[in-house]
Amino acid sequence: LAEVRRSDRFMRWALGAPLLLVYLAFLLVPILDLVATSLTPFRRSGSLTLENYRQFFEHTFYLRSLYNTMWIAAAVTLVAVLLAYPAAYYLASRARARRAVVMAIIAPVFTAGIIRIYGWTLIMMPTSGVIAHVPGLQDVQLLYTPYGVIIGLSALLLPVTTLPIYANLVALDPALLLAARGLGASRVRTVLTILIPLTRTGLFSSVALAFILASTNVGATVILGGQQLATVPNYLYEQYFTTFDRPLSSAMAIILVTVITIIGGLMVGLGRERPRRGAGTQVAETRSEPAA
Amino acid sequence: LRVGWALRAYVLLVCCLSLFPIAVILLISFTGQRYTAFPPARYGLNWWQQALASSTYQTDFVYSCATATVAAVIVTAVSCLAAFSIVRHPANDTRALSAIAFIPLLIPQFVIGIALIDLLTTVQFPIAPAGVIIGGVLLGIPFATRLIMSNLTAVPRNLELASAGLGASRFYTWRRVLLPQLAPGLMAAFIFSFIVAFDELDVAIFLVVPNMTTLPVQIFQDVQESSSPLPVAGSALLLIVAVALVVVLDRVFGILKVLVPERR
Repeated sequence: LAEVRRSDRFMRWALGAPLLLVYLAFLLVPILDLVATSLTPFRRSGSLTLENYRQFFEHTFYLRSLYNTMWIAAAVTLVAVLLAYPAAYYLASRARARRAVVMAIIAPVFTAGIIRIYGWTLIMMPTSGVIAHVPGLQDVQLLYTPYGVIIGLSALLLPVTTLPIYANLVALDPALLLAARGLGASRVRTVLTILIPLTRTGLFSSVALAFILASTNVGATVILGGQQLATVPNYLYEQYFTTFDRPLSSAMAIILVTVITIIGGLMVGLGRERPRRGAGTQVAETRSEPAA
Repeated sequence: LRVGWALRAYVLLVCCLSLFPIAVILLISFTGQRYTAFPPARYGLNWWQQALASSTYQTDFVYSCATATVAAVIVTAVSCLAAFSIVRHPANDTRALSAIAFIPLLIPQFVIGIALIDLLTTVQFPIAPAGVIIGGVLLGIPFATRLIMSNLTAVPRNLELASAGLGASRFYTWRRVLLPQLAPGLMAAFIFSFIVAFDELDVAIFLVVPNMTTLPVQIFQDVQESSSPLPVAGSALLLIVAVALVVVLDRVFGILKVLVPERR
């Protein structure tokens, strides 16, 4: 039996090894290399230095770009969740048009992001875009502003924001909502005290996902934001291809990742279910009583 | 769950918002004018013809297909082995493995891109096509592992045991019993990771070199430089490839049912 157990352990390591090797060689090592690059001085040899990090925190335009990145990502998160939650709720119902909604909201995840970003550019283009033909919106400048980026990114991230909420909603017992309504709770109260608390894990995963993806997206930020919009991804892209200052861009990348990891971690932590007596669990308990 | 008319209207609006940019791309790709404008004053197929005849787009398309295929082959092989380890040898360390498999999705794509440049420069290895392939591999593995895992879970262990009990060798069991059962999962994983690698932009932006550019990155660069409808037609072509692959994935493997499972 010990023989079998040993061979089982060998098999599971042998089977898992390629994946671990790929991640080690092409994820962990490159990222450590990136950290090393961020600690080297630009265009001169020398010992390790925190110069690049100092430069980032000393200049207001870098700090400003970090601030812009954060608030734009926060706005994207808000808009994306406001769009995704009702959509996920609809998908979790047995509504007739469910399949069409899957095609409209989830299936675009299989199309290249650049197509959808470019589509928004053509929509927002001043004078020749779509909105230039909508009465009252002729003079609204969206392209190359934070608002254009917010609209484009929220739409781009809609599928991935919808899925975690959906996973929670589809497992939810609809009787809980009926019970709350039957016991006299208003519609709003049912949503606030039953629906949202019971789907908070999915909701917070969506929030974390939307925030991380929005704050680190380069393609959409560069195209919809343009060079005028100061965000970390924009600066990074510019640094990388015009000044070739790799140490500074590496430092920017690491600062951004650190900040969003902390924020994303907080979100996921907040969403984790804790055994506590919330409104939702109380209802669940009262409901199970007659059955017992 | 109950669905009222207000929700219905709101969801319809969300659907329109989601499809809006795609519809605009399709419409403007049929313009007969020399610059992008809405609505087109004339319609024609000339930009589609130009995009199809463009030697740049042809080269990029072949390059994208080639790199995505190589990436998808590697992804499918690595993920298949990892899925076996996780599903067929459950233990604490394989549970950790299924969590580890998801790590690339938690790392911003541009970080993967610039980190890979760093690595390839440090070891003095040509950036293209290795960088784009590795990027595709990293982004594909999390999804592919999950797809193959769910397929493998559905295959009863008893089939393997019966085969072994009847005297089949390990290899024979694998080839004649497991592989036919796993074929849908492996195909789905392959096509899905192909799409991910093909469409991917933020990693590839940093990893392309002249003459070795993926089609999405080429369109990204064209969009910034000109107002010609050529990249619009190029996008429309990409769109058609994507729609074709999604239809196959959905009809044959029910990928959307996997992503959005119906209420039981």
